[in-house]
Amino acid sequence: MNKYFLTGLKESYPIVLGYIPIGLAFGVLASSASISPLGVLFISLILFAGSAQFITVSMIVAGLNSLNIIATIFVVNFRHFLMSSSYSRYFKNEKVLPLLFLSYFVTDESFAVGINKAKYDNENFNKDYLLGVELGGYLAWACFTTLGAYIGSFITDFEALGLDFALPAMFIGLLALLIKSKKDLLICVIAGFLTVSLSFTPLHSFSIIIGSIIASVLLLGGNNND
Amino acid sequence: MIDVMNDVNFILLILGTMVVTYIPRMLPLVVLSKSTLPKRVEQFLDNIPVAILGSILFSSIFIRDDVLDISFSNEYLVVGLLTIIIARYVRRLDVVVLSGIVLTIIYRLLF
Repeated sequence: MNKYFLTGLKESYPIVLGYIPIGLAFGVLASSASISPLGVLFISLILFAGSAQFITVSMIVAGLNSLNIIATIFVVNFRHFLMSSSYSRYFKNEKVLPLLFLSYFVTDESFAVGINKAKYDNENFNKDYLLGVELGGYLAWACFTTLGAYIGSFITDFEALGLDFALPAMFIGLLALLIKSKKDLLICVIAGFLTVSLSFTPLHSFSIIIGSIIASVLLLGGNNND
Repeated sequence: MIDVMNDVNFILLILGTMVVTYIPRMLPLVVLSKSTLPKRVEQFLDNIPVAILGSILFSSIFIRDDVLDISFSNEYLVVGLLTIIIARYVRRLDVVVLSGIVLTIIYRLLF
């Protein structure tokens, strides 16, 4: 098997760890909404999104109509267009077909791992590496959500294992690697504060997108090494 | 019981959510990778990863159950700050992730 793919698969381990508690929790929620384990697997394989899946199930339970749900999910996951845009710089000579396939699996988590590789270990980054990272997360998500639908309700004290902090910790670790200058640090902090502030306004659904765009525009140009 | 095998509306709903989440995931990558972008746009895209990961991290640490929580009782904030300090000095992802998990366990044992 391709060595880049295997490296990617291996480096998806923090994502896999982090998906254990969230995946099981989703399985529990979905089965309490009387969705069968097969239905849970179907959602995870087809929609493949974290918070969007929780929202979908909550809206099904609330009896909202499908168009309403689909529109909400569009808004919730729209932030991925920013991630997809910033990947584009690293796939300049790639054929369309692999890109159509790779982009199906874009998530916050695989983006965090993938873009780090693209920026700072570029000679080892390619479509196979990214596919490894993405499929690691995809398979783990499918397994743990389905498992949650079967056995999740038997696990009561899952919090004691601390695994729910694996993803925030991963974002901290990856940001620490990505932030190379005062300018980067400023972008991170400004984007973070804007997003948190916007979360309490009517624009809350777009908080991440608006916060990230404003911070990125504010710090356009300037010396990257100061 | 909602089962994929016998609920057409459910299948259509999930396929619908797939379409609207796939388009923003796919379109920019496919279109922009084939275009030459102005330097300003390239710089902008260069800033996006740190910005978006910062946004996601801040949201998950400061906002708990839809409420802004800046207090010692917010375990993610306390553990997060300690993990940031560790990440500042130990630039290894595995160590940072493991530290975050262990600190969370300790916090929950203590408080």
